[in-house]
Amino acid sequence: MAEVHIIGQILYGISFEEPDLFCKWSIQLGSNWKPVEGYIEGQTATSRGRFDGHSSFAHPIDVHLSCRGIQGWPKFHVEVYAVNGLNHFFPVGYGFAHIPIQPGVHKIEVCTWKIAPTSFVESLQTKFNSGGSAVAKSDLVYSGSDR
Amino acid sequence: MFLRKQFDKRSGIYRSSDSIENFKIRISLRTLNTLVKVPKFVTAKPDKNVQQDETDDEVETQTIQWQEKILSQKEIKFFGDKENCQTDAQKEYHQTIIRNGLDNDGRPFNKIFTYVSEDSFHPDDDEKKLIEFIERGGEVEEEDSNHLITSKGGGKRFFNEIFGFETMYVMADLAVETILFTIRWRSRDGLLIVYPDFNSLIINPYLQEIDSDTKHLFHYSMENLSDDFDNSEQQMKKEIEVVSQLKDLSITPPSIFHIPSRRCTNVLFLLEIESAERFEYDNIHVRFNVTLPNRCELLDGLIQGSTHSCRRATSLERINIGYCHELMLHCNTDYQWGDDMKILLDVISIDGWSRERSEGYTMLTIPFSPGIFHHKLLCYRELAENTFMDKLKRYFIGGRRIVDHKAFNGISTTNEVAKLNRYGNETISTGILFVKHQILVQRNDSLVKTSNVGNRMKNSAKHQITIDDVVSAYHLAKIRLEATASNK
Repeated sequence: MAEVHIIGQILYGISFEEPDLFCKWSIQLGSNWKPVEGYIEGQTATSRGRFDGHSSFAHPIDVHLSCRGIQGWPKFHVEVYAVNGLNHFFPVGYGFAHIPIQPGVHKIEVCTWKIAPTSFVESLQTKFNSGGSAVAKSDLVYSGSDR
Repeated sequence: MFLRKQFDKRSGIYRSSDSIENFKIRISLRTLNTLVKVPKFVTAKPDKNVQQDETDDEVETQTIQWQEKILSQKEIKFFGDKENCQTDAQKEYHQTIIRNGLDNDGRPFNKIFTYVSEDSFHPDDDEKKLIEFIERGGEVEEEDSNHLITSKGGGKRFFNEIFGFETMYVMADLAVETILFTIRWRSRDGLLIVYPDFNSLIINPYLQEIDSDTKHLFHYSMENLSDDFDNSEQQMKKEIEVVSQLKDLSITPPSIFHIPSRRCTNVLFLLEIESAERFEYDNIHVRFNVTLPNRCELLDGLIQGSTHSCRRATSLERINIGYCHELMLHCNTDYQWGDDMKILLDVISIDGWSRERSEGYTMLTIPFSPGIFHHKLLCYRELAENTFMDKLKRYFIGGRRIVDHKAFNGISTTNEVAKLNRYGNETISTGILFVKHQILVQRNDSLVKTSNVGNRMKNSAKHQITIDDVVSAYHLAKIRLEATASNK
């Protein structure tokens, strides 16, 4: 069996409108892959207040995977949540990226998107930081079908 | 100072080609009598296995070999009585007890003992870990794993029989029986799993807290004392094997990892449509269509798809799309290098009145060279006639003229394209698409690299030489030479 080690960190988020953010991340694997050591999902700490539109997370990732085929290459999935003044949290970004296939040092930028408000009430809610729609099936984010 | 610090307990997974008979470890167990290091005066006479260090904590050490059975106090009492011994192993323990006089009351009390394969010892959380390991190994089908654990001890038996693991537990008698270390060994591939991993009593001892009548704290550690493996003999054996293997040129791959057959290539293609910029209207989505090269077969994935609709956030000009796609292809190595994979992308916008407008087209050519590549694709849109009426039509009604992408970009399913003629078409530039793709190429044989890199475009399969080809050509030439020599 082949083995892959992924060692890195979630550095920061930029250009989000909301100031207080935390990030839930996970590594999605195909059926040929199994985690051997390390956590394949987690949640960063909340980064409050921002300087220069930059929220630092600095969350470590250290995973050891084994596979019996290259199909189902691991993907990195993130959900960014914002926290408002009343300590409610709501999603403000979904995104994903493929783990690079070449060994070495890589810097990955994950472009995120969020569900757009469909009605006027919802758009008021998002404006005043008290809500945002969540994805019903989270595998919409990292699989291409059903979009 | 930080005596109560809990160090992480992780599994250590090791591979060794040495025999397991050479495995030797030293277990140290320290009873923490005090959390404060206070110097003490000279103590009573020290025991053989117990040392007194500066802080007056007793440290018991024991050197253990693989499957060496050390009896606990409870076992000594139990097996000391001949009637309690049923299996052969237990009768042997009884003999050992009698021979060494272990059940004399005057003997000092050893805390460390072991359970080996012959003892029917089943720790409680073993089953959960077994199921995890079995699923992780992927060697058993999902349906079979439900039949595994039907009776107590069934799981461990299955585990040991099917996976060939031998297990040994290092225990300590600390008011309750506590498992200190679990050691598993599989001889067929030399896999040794140690939980928790080797450590040092001074640097990172593991902490065990026992709450019985009072709180007891213990530090314990395991050090590896096995002799270093002598490589020279094994190396000589390997060299002999390699020479004999060259004769039939077959190197058996590991049975678990999927690799393509000879002269075939598996290509994993990962596509990410990241973002879009500077398109005229908002609420766009991207549709794509993949044209595979000849003699390439699709193993997994879809060759057509669409992203979701994305809107521009007010503060940013860039629209984040974040779409993923994965394709697994299987290629015969006799395909032409110039025959690449082509992806046609079509950007479409839909506004609040459900009017669809074409925002741009673009094409991406993917050669099958491995690596990670970023693209900035400039899109264009066709204009029927560049008149004012056209612009009004586009604004009020919308409309997408379906362009025959394949003809427009010169992609043909047959090989007889004479020339690509775009005369009469007028286009206008629209926005930019940012796309990233990654290619992983998997083959079973290694190519001999041609020295002339510039000739890559001319290279076809006939020029791709593998090491197997070179060796078999050598053998053929040798046979011919011998035939000629013998004819003379």
